[in-house]
Amino acid sequence: MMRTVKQQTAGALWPPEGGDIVTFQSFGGFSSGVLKEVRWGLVWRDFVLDDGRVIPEHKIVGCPEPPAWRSPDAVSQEEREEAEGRLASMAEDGLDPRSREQPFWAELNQYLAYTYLRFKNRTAQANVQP
Amino acid sequence: MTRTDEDAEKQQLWRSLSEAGLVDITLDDFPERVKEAKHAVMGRLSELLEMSNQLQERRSVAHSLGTLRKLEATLRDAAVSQGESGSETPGR
Repeated sequence: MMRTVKQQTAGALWPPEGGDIVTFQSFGGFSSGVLKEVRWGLVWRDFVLDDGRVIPEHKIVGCPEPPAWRSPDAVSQEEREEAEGRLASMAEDGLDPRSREQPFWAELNQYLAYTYLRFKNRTAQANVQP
Repeated sequence: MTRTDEDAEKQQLWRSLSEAGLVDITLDDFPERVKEAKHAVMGRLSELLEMSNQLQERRSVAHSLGTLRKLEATLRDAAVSQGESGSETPGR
């Protein structure tokens, strides 16, 4: 039986499992879908739905506050290069990065947040060094 | 680090990302956010160019800059083609 997000939060089960129905804030309101998998991006977790939409965890109804995140230092060079390779490949394939809730849009959001944190930390460290 | 410290760090991070407009980038803001990221990367790259012992990081930062330039061009092309067709991007 599919669980809904209310049942998940009532039972303090987070994140939901594949096959669960999740509700999320979408453009112009709320939307729902069947969760396929939860996977880590460069900064936060993305919820991949079985129809291909990719929703950041903090948009999912019932997400704990504050959401889980990764420090940019926890991202390996290999992982960063893989993400950059996927972005370059999607750009070359002519995908529109502005199509909301699609993989390119999701990757681009994560990459910009990651880049900000990566270099913001560098600047902060440089500023405290004598 | 205690649980309270971790929560405080998480809160700080989300506040920081939110203030930078990076938690939920609006479609119109994408080009500006890419430009800002590019400036940050270029700043770091120029620092690294003054050092002689940071070759690996220099290469990695230069690669990130290349990725951002490609994304900037893609966003520009997408905006132009949308303007020409006058149609909305599906899913927006």
